[in-house]
Amino acid sequence: MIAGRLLLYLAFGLCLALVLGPIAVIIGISFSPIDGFAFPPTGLSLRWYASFLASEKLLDSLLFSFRTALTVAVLSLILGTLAALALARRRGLLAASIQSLFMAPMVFPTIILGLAILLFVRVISAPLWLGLIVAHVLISTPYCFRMVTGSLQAFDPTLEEASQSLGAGPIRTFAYVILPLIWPGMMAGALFAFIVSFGENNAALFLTSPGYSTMPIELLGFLQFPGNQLIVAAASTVQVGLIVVLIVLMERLVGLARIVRGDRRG
Amino acid sequence: MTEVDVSLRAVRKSYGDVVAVADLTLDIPRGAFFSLLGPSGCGKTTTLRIVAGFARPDCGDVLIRGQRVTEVPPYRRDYGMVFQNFALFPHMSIADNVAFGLRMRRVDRGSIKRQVSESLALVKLAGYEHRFPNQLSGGQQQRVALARALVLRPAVLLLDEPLGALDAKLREEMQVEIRDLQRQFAISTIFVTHDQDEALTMSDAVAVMNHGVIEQLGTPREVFERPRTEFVARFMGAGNIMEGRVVATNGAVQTLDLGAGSVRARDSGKRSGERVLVTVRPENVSLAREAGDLGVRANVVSVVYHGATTHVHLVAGPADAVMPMVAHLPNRSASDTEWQRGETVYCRWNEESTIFLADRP
Repeated sequence: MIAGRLLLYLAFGLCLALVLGPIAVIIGISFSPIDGFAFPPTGLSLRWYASFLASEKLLDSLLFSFRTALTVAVLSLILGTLAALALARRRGLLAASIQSLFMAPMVFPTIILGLAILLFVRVISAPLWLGLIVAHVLISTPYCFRMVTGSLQAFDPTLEEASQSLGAGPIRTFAYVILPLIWPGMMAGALFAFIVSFGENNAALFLTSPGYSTMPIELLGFLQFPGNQLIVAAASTVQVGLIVVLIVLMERLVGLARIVRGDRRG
Repeated sequence: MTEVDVSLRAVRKSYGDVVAVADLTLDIPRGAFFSLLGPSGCGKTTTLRIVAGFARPDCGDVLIRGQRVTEVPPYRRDYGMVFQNFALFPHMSIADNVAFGLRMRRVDRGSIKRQVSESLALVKLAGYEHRFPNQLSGGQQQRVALARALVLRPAVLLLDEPLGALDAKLREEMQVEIRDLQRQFAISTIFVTHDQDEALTMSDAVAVMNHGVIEQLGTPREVFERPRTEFVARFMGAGNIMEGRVVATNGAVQTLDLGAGSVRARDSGKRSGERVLVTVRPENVSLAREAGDLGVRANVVSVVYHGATTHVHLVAGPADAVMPMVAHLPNRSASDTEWQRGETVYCRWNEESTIFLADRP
């Protein structure tokens, strides 16, 4: 029994180390006082944060990334929810194929997607940032679609009938019964969409332009040249921090634990 | 003339090639507790869903309190419904669940509050306003579902196997409780069930359905004691179906030859020589070891002790046309005859117990 327990804790610790280890290292060296990778850091300093905050380019890209990710989350949520509502309870070959189609961007190489959209944007001479949003919406929508579909499938359809039997038409049934019950799934989908867009690199490689560049692309630029590389660690830490803040905020607003568990009680 | 709360006029509904409800015509008088009884797939649930508006009939009409509602959507019909799984809104408190229908009808706040607590008191759940459905037991959820449906004072209450999700003891309590509430509100009720005991104990009228048609409609007593078709007889637990012919009519009493023996019956109007299909309830059958003028010769297959009764399973008739039979014998004292497997016995019953069934189609 005790040996089993120990083994379980060991496995848990290993997983934790694998998942959080690299992040911890990056956060650790972001406080390094010297210009070079040394772990554990030889001292503590905020110089890389200072240079991050001094870099207008990085700050602009952070803001741009944030705005892009927010737009993408909202658009993906709307598209994903509508698609899920239309398809969740349909049976048959057509519905199944359309469902797979909606999930397809997840397995499609994003680098090719980026290139394709770049070509498309050139053809219709639309701004690149619009192409970036389209690309990210495409990549993120499957997450929203999947999460909302999950909520809808867990949703007992007789609740809709109960609502109608009590005098609520389709719109009020949606507003008072369906929406509150699939809301956690919607929020989880939007959160995923935000995080995916915020960190996306491949499609963004083709679809950023001066002034419309996301932070991952800017950081990639820093990594290509020697010197000042630890500013990347500081920026990544800020990025991780932002996402943590977002998750905590969601937890407060809708209860992330409920979202993850798919619990339906308010 | 009594007022009719729900009527179905020649309602038909099929799903693909399967006819779920076939030309059903039905009137439910005001205040009646009406059961639709039958096995799964007999069309009883479809019938209820047609009244509720969740299924649209292919043809025919649905009327609620004289108003034609065939094309009216569910949310504009005047009924309350209790679903098999209760279908309480999990994200709303008990009070909000019960208030939902009133809110949809834009009743003012004060009167909602009053009506909600009145209904919860009626179902003995006063004080549960702020709980959530998943904090309640099955029986309590059932009562909330009833309160939620009744608070609107609908023209008709639709119950879709509402006791199916409860355990046996609770089910019996809820049978009584539902019936009490129904009487108190004097509300016309359509109750869908596959459980004949439930239908018999609760209903004013029972419609036994099979393959989308009503095989028999009557009081519980009529349906139980005087089944008119083989299906109803079997469904009500009278499994002794026997074929034979009339051999003699003597005043009001006829003698029937069932092949494995003769029995008496009340005059059916059938003439001598005519083929008949009859049944007898297992509890009306008695067994004897001695042959006589009357009695169906049978062999004991098994003897099962059931406490108050002993069920003796038998086969009668020649090898090419065996008739399975069963007798439920009361256990009165230790001196009751012990029946043995394999022995030959004679089944007897009095003439009133022979029930004539409609011929097999």
